[in-house]
Amino acid sequence: MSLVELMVGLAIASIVAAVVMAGAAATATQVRRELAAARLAEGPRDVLAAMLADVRRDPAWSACLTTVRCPAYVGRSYGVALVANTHAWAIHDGGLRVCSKEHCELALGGVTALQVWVDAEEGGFVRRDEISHAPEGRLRRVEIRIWLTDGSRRSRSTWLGP
Amino acid sequence: MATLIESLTALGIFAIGSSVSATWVGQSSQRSAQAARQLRALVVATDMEARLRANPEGVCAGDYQYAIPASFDCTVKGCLANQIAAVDLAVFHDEVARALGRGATGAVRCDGGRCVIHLRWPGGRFDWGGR
Repeated sequence: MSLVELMVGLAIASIVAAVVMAGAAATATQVRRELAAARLAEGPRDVLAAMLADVRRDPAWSACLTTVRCPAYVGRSYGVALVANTHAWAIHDGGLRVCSKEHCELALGGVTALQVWVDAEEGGFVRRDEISHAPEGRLRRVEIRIWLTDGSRRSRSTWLGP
Repeated sequence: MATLIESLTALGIFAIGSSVSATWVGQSSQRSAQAARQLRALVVATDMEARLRANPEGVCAGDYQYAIPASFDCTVKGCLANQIAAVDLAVFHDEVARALGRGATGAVRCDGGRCVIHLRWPGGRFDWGGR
């Protein structure tokens, strides 16, 4: 092998290595970005699904104001709490927390408010109201809304069968 | 000369392998994005399904098919079935745009109390419900 061939081979190998490194870095960045976006989108969706699953499992579910009186432990949370299936879901310290017995843990960060809305039958009409107490009357639907730190809202609802 | 040919051959094989690998990564990423959109569409559709089930009067009257999306305050006196349907449709269209992008459209088609929710977006579609 001549020196010229060696140099040419080395130069080509360097170029190929540089291209591969650049491609791999771009791919890794893109994958990281997609994973972060998926986490951002899936977090609220999963939490709302879990909260509605609790509501469906517990016919005696209720909402309450944490500063007034709640039928479950809510720690130092503020605003409205959802109490269902032995869990209390409430906002504390910039995140949605789920409390059980005497312990709360973070379920989703970046949540600023929680609202519980219901569709209730009332004399041929349907009232769509935000509640902060135990629901009254014949309920048709429950909707849970969470507000995120970026100002956006995520919500999901479930039908309550007769 | 022989070593140069060997080098070029190796380079060619490497180039083919790289392009195949890049194609695979691209396709995988595309499928993943499609699956994520299908999942978002499922969430939007099941939320609308809950609204339809909660308003059977509106479904039977065809309100979800013909009502114009609108905003009513149903907190004080309550709303009639067609008003609830109009509010639900407004929320549905907002959710479709937010979850699936600006080019996405959603429609509800009901027949005899059974409804199908159609969602369309550039490069994809999702139909929920059945007859």
